[in-house]
Amino acid sequence: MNGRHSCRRVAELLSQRLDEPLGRFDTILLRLHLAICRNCQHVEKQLEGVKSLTAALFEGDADLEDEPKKPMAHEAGDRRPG
Amino acid sequence: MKSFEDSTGGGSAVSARPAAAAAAAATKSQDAELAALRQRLLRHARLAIRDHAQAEDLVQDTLIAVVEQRTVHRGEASLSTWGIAILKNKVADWYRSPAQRRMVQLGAQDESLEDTVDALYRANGVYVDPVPAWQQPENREEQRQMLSVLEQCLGGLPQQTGRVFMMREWLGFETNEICERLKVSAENCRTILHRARTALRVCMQHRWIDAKVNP
Repeated sequence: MNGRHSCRRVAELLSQRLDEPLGRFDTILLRLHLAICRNCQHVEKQLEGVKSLTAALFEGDADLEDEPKKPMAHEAGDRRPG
Repeated sequence: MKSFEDSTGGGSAVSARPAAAAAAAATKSQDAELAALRQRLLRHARLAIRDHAQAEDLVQDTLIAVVEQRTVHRGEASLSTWGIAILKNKVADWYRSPAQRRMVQLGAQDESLEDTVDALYRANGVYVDPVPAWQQPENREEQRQMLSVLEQCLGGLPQQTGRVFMMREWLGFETNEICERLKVSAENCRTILHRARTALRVCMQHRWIDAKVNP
């Protein structure tokens, strides 16, 4: 690649960047490309979205998943003096 | 007469009975909670392991730990947060066990993701179709639906690709550990993760964003 990355290569680097630091050369070229390419800007956001949504799905509050009332019932049960 | 009975109860039993009823109700709500937790843990374990019997075993171990330590555990984290943390450790240990070293062989389905990626680009590496911006979910209900779509998309990933993705994004393995455990090159590992993320991005695009615009 002579100083320009294709969108395809940029997508690979955007994924790689989520796992490890990129080299200086790739970092600069990625930045230059992102500055002028809207498609790749959107891909960047989407990849970040996939990552954070996965975290939310696996780590998130149960009440985002379950019926809203369940956690309330649990709290009420626990607070009962016994 | 009946209302008199109900409101005052029967003399000495008056203090014992509501307490017993409260305890029974508490046990019942805890059972329901455990059942709900079990379902959630199973869904997570199946996605991360892709082996139903093994997933059941790890979830069972997790629930035993939850019940055993329940009296020690109080407050801070909700039961599900706590249960998921235990399960996560168990799944990570399972992946780190020596027996799992030989496990990842990419299948034809995993390889077929290459076509999914190829289809996005022209020969010169430019996108065939414009990539739209994703809208943020507008409320909690939308957020919930979005997570549910993601869950379907994760389930749709080819088996080994799904495992590698979950090892990285849920279990938090560094890529060099994933490569080492799976006996694949760093380059291969990057490619698997890149294809997984691209497939998920495209799946979310189709099933969530496009479906929202054209229901």
